[in-house]
Amino acid sequence: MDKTQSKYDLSQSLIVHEQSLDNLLKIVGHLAHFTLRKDVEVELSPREQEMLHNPNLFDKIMKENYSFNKYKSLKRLIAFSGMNNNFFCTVMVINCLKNLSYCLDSCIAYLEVLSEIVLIQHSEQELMWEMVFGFPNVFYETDFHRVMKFGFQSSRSLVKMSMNYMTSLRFSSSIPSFLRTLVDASDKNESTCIIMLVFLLQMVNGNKKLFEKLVRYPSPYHIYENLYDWIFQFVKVYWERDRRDNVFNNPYATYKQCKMFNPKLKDELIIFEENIIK
Amino acid sequence: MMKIISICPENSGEILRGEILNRIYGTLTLLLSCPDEAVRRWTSRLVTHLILVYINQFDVQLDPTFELKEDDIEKNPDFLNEPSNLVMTILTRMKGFKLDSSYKRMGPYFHMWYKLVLANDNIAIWMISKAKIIAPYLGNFVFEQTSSWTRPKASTI
Repeated sequence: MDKTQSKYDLSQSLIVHEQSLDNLLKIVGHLAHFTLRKDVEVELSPREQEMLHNPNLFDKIMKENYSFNKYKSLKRLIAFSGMNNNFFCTVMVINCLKNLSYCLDSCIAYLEVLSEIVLIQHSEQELMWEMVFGFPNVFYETDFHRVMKFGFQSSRSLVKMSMNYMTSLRFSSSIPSFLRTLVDASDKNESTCIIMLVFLLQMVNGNKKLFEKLVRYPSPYHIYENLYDWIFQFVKVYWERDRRDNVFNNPYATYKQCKMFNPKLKDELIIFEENIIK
Repeated sequence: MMKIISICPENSGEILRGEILNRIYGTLTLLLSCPDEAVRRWTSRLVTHLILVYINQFDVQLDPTFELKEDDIEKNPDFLNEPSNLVMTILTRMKGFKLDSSYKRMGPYFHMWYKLVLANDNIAIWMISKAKIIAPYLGNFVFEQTSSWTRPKASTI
C-alpha cells in the first residue's frame, strides 16, 4: 500500500475495482480472440459481432474510473474490433479526440484507446495517423498584429503558436488533432499535457514508421526547430519547477496522479532520445 | 481449503457432486448476491479450483457440444458418474440462471468463467457455440437492458 494513500482512498479504489467491467471484458476479450485461432472452428454470431463493434460499448467502458495501465482487457477488445474495420477506428478516434480536447484530468482511458488504435496494423494505417496526429501547416488566424511576409503570417512574438497540426477528419472543425490538443494542454493543464506526452512517446517508440514520420514534424513555436525540441524543453521546465516546489515540502504541488507517470516518462524519453541519435 | 483439495485431489469429485451440484442454489447465491465482496471472491476461487483440480486429476475430456436435457439425470442414474457429464452439468447450471442482475457485483463470477476458459479450450468452444454467453452478458450488463439487482430465483436454476 502506498504510504500517502489514506484509508478513504483505499476504500474508494476497492469500490471502483468492485464495480469495474474489467472481469467481464477479460472473458469477452479472450473469447473474441479465441475465435481468431486457426485450430478452432467457432464463430461469433452476428448479434455478438454487432455488439463488439458498437462504439457505445467502448464509450461506456472509457467513462469508468480506472488507473493507469488497467485497460489491458479494453485494449484487447479494441485490437479485435479495430482489425480491418476502418469505420470503427474512425468513430473511436473522433470520440477520443473530442474528449481529449477538453484537457481534463480523466483522459487516461481515451489515451489508452487512441494508443491502441494507432498501433493496429492495417492497410490504411498512415491515413489513420494523419487523422490522429494531423499534418503540420502554418497557423493562420485573424490577427491584425501579424504581418504578412512572403504570403505567410509572421508573428513578432516567439512564444505565440506558429504551427498548427490539422487533422484530416472532415467530421467537424471543432475537433483538434492529438498534437494540437497536446500543445493547447501545455497552456491549460500541464499535468494532463505530461500524461499525454507519456502516451505520445509510447506510441512513437512502439512503431518505427511513426517515429520517422513524427520526428520530422516542425515545432509549434518559432523558438524551436522540431517538435521533439519543444517536448524536451517542456519536460525540462516542468521537472525543474516540480523539484523547486518540493523544496518547500509541498507534496501536492503537482497533480497527484501525474506523479505516477514521472518514471514512465523518464524511460520513454531515454528510448526516444536513443532513437533520435541512431 | 484450497490447499486441502490440492493435497487430496481424488475427493474433488465428491465435493463437486455433494457440495456444489446438490447445493447449486446456495453456491450461486453466495457467488452472486452475498454483500461481502471477499465471500464472493473466495467462493469463485474455490469453485474454479475444484473444477480445474477435478479435470486435471481424472484427465477429463470435456465435450464442447454438450447440452443438458431435463430428464438426463432422472432417467440415467449413472449420468453424473461420468466425469465429463458432471463438470458440464455444473457449468450448465452455473450459467443457466436468468441473467437479470447488474454487472457491478459480478466481478468474481466473471473471473471464475475467465479462469475456466483460460485453462480449457473445450470450455471456451462450448461457451461460444452452445452457451452463447457474449450477447446476453454484454446486453444485460453493459447496455443494462435490466439494471435492477435481484437474487437468482430457484425456479430459474
